[in-house]
Amino acid sequence: MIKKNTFEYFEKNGFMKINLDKKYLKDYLNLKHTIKKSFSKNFKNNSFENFHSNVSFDQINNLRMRIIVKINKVKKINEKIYLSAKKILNQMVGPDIIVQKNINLAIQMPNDSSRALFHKDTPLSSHHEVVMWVPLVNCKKTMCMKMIPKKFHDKADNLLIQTNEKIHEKFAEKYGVTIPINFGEALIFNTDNFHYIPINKTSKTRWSLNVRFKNLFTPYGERNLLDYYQIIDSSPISNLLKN
Amino acid sequence: MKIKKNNDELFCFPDTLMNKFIPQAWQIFVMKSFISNYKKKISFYTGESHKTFKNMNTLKKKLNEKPDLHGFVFFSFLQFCYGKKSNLEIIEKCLKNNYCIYLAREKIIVKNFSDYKKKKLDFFYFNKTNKELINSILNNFEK
Repeated sequence: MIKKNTFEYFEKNGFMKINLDKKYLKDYLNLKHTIKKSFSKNFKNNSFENFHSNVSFDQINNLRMRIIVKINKVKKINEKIYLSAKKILNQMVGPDIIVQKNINLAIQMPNDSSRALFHKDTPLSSHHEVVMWVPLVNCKKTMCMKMIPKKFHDKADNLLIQTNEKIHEKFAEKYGVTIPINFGEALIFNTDNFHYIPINKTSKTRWSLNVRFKNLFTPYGERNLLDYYQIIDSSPISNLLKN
Repeated sequence: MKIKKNNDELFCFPDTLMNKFIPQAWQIFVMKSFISNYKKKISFYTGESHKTFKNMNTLKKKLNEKPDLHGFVFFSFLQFCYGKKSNLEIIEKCLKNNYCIYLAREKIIVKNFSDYKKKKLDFFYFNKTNKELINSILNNFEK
């Protein structure tokens, strides 16, 4: 079997940082431009990082949902995101690849405590799936998620019955890995990986996209082709067989 | 290209095999809600019977009548997967006759052959990758 050293870290931990293909960075810049233009009233003259200056905690979720609708109206947005990481994704799950139909957006303003709890995406998502997490701003410290390496998953599983968030926070502090990720980079992680989103204690708003990819022919979770995924790339043999 | 007179009306096909899980009234509610986003409404509804759900003969019969409609709305693409092979040729026949297809569960609209071409691979492999789900629905229905 050919050893692909690029994936050694991923195979051990279940996540890895990647550089996005520079050729496609303009698509992300265009997307940011579209968001800023469409929501200029909310941005005023602020940058993405200072978006919180004129937006309250009460407004943010409704606004986020409206921005998600806008993002998903951008022509071929899934394709653009896929192309920016195609080389990695093709080796990781390809060559017959399906992508989540609707792109998600997370906006984590400083000190906003409303966020997803400590969790993993399976079994709702397939075990054979990866999440591509793409920040639209440079992320460091508490702007980043805490990723729990694979070797601590059994411990984390036992923790899920606990409802006290402090216990989750302590666990993530002890075993979690913070990976600073800049605009132009992305984090790829397996849906089986536990992750924890800390309260953003920095002075900047975190903006990130997340989108899921899996192989067309690997087992599914509770989500399916057509209702949740669409084919984004296919092998010649799969194309041949459809005819 | 023939232009339909009733450009906003769709003939509605709830999924007979899903009735135990999602009552027909709720399926129609979902379909109505989905098509209302596109300013479409239901003209009438029917469903495949215990004898026709595999080959979709009720739909074929309706198609032969050449109704004056914009198209058809289905609760799910699953309805095209209950036969031995998927009934993609019926979708093609609808499109040939200038009818649009709306799939509520999947939030998919196929307006013409160009849309269909983009989705054909997904339709084809949905059936192949969902045998377990399709068989469990069939087994439950045929009990």
